[in-house]
Order: sequence, then structure tokens, then C-alpha cells
Amino acid sequence: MARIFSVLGVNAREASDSLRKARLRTTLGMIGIMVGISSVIAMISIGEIAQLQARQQFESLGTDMVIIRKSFNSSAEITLSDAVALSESVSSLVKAAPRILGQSEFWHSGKRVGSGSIHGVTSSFLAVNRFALQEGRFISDFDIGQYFCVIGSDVAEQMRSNGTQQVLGEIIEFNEQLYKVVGVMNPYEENYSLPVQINSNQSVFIPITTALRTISNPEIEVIIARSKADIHHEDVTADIQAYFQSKSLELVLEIITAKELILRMEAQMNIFSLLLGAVGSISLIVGGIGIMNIMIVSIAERRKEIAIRRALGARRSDIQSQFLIESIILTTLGGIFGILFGLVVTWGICQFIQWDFLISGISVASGLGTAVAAGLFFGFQPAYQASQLDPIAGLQSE
Amino acid sequence: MINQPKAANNSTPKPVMVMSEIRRSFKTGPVTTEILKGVDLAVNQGDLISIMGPSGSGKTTLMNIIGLLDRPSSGKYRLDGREVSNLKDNILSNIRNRQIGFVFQAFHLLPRLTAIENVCMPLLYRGTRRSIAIREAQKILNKVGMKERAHFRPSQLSGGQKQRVAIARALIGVPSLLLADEPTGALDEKTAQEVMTLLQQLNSSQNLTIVIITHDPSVARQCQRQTRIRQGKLIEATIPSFNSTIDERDLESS
Ligand SMILES: Nc1ncnc2c1ncn2[C@@H]1O[C@H](COP(=O)(O)OP(=O)(O)OP(=O)(O)O)[C@@H](O)[C@H]1O
Ligand SMILES: [Mg+2]
Repeated sequence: MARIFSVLGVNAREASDSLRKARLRTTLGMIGIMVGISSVIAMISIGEIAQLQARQQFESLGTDMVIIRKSFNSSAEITLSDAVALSESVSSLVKAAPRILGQSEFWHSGKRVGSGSIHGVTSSFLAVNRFALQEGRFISDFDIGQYFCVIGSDVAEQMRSNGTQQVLGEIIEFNEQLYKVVGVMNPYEENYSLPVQINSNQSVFIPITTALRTISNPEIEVIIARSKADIHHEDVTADIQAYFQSKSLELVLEIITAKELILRMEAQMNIFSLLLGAVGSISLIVGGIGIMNIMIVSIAERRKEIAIRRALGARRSDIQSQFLIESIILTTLGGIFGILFGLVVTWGICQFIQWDFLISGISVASGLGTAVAAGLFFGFQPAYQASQLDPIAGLQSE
Repeated sequence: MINQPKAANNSTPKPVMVMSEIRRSFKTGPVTTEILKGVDLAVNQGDLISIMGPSGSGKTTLMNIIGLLDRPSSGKYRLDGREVSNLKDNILSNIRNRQIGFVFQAFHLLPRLTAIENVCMPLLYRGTRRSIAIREAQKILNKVGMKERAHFRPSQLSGGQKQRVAIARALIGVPSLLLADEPTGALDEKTAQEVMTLLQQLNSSQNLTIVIITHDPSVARQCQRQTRIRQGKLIEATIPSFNSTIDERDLESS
């Protein structure tokens, strides 16, 4: 090995000179490797970023979240009493919060202070969704049929900018009814990966019993629940199904758990990765064959040089390692450009789908590893051939 | 340093290489042509020996065998007391690196390397540290009169200068045997004589053993021993003694 390192410095310059002489060929071969490596980089990075993103989203959301909906082909509806009794009757659930949904404009002292959703909810809705209050209180279990409301932060802000300092106790009008403001919600950052969109900022919350009376065609549109931590998501789903089956055979439900969502998202990512992987492997093979071609041509042009080295005492293995190192230098250079390009592509994708960009160490390492491996693999045969050249013929060649 | 009396000549000569019954044939298609038909050659340390012969007579073929670039079809060959005709390729490389120095008609310098880097090569293939090899190379370049042009590329050197660099490269490993295949063949008369003088000096001052293949009678005449290849055999044209001359008519017929 020491022998190889002794000649390495001198050989490297000779290699780079000969590659520079054949610039077009070198560039083409390197582009193939570059595309291949950048696909590898993008593939691994996107996968990693997506997982991190999903984890972050579900951590704020909670991996124990369960969403229960009436299926579109169900002939029966979820009844309020069944929904309210759900968390006590199904042991795998901790809490459950049903919701009735309406739409309206919100008015205060003759001025429009917003428009959005009316959520008919129970007291558990706050905790189930991990919402917090800015002031006042949330809907309580004792507010049955009362015209109380909790308003979203945007609505409160609009009232304040209209000159109302103290919004608690004010009366606002929506859906042709008057409601007394008992609480204001904290501003809430939206999370689009959720299967239920709750824009609390532009919403009002009223007792579900009141909503049953005031909203036209009221129905329990969703139940948001939390499961116990140590129970498998499929068991949770089965328990809920069993509970509602015992109430009504006509009721068809659609139950989504956060864990299932994570799995689904991962499956999607896998397809994406597979696609990038295929593009990556194909271009790596094409690039590798290009590199092989470069090496074969370069060796044919340097038969004399090889012969001279052999005459000076280079072993076959010295020649072989010289050209192997040369092809590894080529693919590693292509790999470095590929890594940079791959990171740019990843950054672009992250910009586009609004994810946080990060440089995945694993992806950079495996990109570099793949480049070196490609150099070894595609350089092996040409380097071996170079080492087997007849020095006498080489010395006579021009 | 130059023209010192040679110590080896006064004591018993030490054999550097001994060949006997060396044959080499080539197969081209169905035809096998024997080029060397039983060459015998013994070279002692300090010999300066020329090999002449018509074109195609097998001079280069013989030199390739002496230099271990090629193997004879049959025959015995001892180099520094060791039988080398059946050694493995790696060992042959090693012997070429340490015991043989080559000088070629076409110089055969590596075009992308500077003179000093070219001279370093044999040492680098031994695993010598680069800094040490560079220092050695500079010393040898000084000796062959190339002190000022150590960092020139071959393309920036004249033919004579290239050949001096090539000689330095052949010498850096302190070989037992310097093989020169028409070392003056690509040079004009004056430069050829300069290179020949350098080889003679190395031979006499350092007792370096040199085998020169040449077409040039004036080069051959300056060698202490003169041989010719004729019909695949090597003929000693002079009795191995100092200052003897070769038959001029014999040379002109080649
Ligand atoms: N590898 C080979 N295959 C077939 N024939 C060969 C091979 N090498 C040499 N020969 C033949 O052997 C003969 C001797 O060649 P060689 O190069 O030794 O001649 P030479 O005496 O050095 O000639 P020159 O003075 O022109 O250099 C030539 O006829 C050549 O064609
Ligand atoms: Mg010849």
C-alpha cells in the first residue's frame, strides 16, 4: 500500500491532466453519476424530512388522536346521546368530543366582526383538541341549551379594533340568534395534515345542545377522540365500531386514527422514494457505463505510459490501482456535484411543499459512498485490463 | 571523477548476467518465426558492451529479455547470480525496479511530469518517500548536467536533454545493469557524441555496467566490448579486452 501512496500525488496530476484533455467525455460521464447521486441524495433527504415533518405534526396533534365520522353511504346518523356516552362506554378511549357544524357571519353592535364556522360542542372539545383559552371559560356541561358562546381570536380582535375593550359579556349575533361571549380562544396555528380542519381563530363555539336547535339540519358531523396510549390503533377502531354497531346496525362509520395516518403517509413516501431510487439507479448505471467508457478510452490512449511505468518497475497491481483511483476520483467528483445538486433539489421541493429543509447527514454519506462504490465497480474491469497490457507492445505504440 | 582507472578491471571480473542458449520465437498466425536462435552472453561488472545487427535481427527482442520485459521461449538467464527465467511477474517488476535501468531511443519520458518527477518514478515505485526521492533525483540530475532544468517538462527539453533525464531516471535506482536501446538513434551527431561521452564517463567513473544497442559504428567503437547479432546468434566481434577496435567493413555491411 505504501507504494501506491508514494506514486499517488504524481499520478493524480497525470490523471487529472488526461481527464481534462478529454473534457467533453469526462463531463458527460460525470453528469450521469451526478444525476444518479443527486437522486440518491434527494430520495434519502426527502424521506427523512417527511418523516420528521410527520412526527412533528403528530406530536403537536398527538398520536392518540382518533377521528370518527359518519360514512357518506350511511343511512343512520350518530345520535348525541351515543356520542356523549362514547368515551365512558369504550374503554380504549380516554376522551371524545362530538361536533355539530354550521356557518354564519358574526355581528356585534351592528357591525360584522367576522364569518366562519359555528361549532356545536361539549366541554371535552377543548381538551381533546388541545386548545387553550385567552380569557373567560369554555362551554361547560351545565350550559345545556344556553345561548353562550366562546369566540375565536380573530373575532375578538375585530371586536377590540371596533372599540370594545372588554369582549367578555358582550352579545354577538349569528344564525339569527343572540349569544353572550363567555370566553376567547387562544390564537391557533393551523395544521393542514389533519383530517378535520378546525380554524378556531375565525370560529365561534356554542353548546352542542343549543346547536341542535339553532342550526338547520343538525347532525353530528365528527367525533374527535383520544385513545389510551398503549392500545393498538386497530383495536381502538374495532372497539368503536362494536360500540356503535350495538346502537344501530344502519350506522356506517369511517374511523381514522393518527397512527394509521402516519403509516399511510410513510407508505406514500416509500412510493416516492422508490421512484427517485429508480431514476437514481438508472442514471447511476448509465453514468457508470459512461465512466467505464472514459476509462477504456483513456487507457487505450495511455498504453505507452503504462508500458513505461511497467519498465520502471510498476507491478500489475500498481497499474490497476492507479486506474481504479482515477475512476474513483471521477465518480467522487461527480458525486460531490451530485450531492450539491441533490441538496438544491431537496431544498426546492421543501420550498414548494412548505417543509423545513435540513441536510441529511445519512444522505450525504450514502451519496458519497455510492459514488466511491460506482467508481470501484465500473473502474474495475478497465483497470484490470490496463494492468494486463503487454509492456513491449506498449513501448512500441505511438 | 572522469576517466579514473577502473578497479574491477584489475581484479577478477564479477559476472552481472549470464545467458545461455536463449531462444525466442514469435507466432504470427500459423507461422512461427524464431528470432533468437540460441544466444549466449556473459556480462561482467564494469563492462561497456555494444550490440549491433541489421534491423529486424532481434536486438530489441534480446534487450527485452535481458531487461525482464519479455521471457525467452527457452534458455537460461542468471542475473546477479539468480536464475530469473521462471520468476513471477511481481518479482520481475521488482527486479526491473532495482537491478535494471532502461534508456530508449525515443526517450519515453512521461510527458505530463517534470524532469525531476520523471527521475523520481523508480524510487516512488519502491515506496520511497516523495521528499527523499526528489532530493535523490536532484542529485542525479546534477550529475548528468541537468541541474538547471529539473522542473522543465519533456516538451520543453531538447532531444539530448531528454536523453540525459532518461539516463538519470535509469540511474536513480542504482541498477546493476543499464540497458540502452539505440540511445543516440534520435539525436544529431554532436548530441549523440555528448550522450555517448556521458555513458562512457558513468561506466569508467562508477564502474557502471552498460549494454548499448546501436546502429552507429562510431558508438560501437567507443565500447570496450562489441558484439553483433547474426542469424539469431550473438557473435563477439572483439576479444573482451580494453581499447580493441571492430572491423570497419563488418560494420558497414549491417
Ligand atoms: N511480439 C512480436 N510478435 C511477432 N513478431 C515480433 C514481435 N516482436 C518482434 N517481432 C519480430 O522480431 C523481429 C526482431 O525484432 P526486433 O525489434 O528485435 O528487431 P531489432 O533488431 O531491434 O530491429 P531495429 O534495428 O529495427 O530496432 C522482427 O522481425 C519483428 O517483426
Ligand atoms: Mg530495435
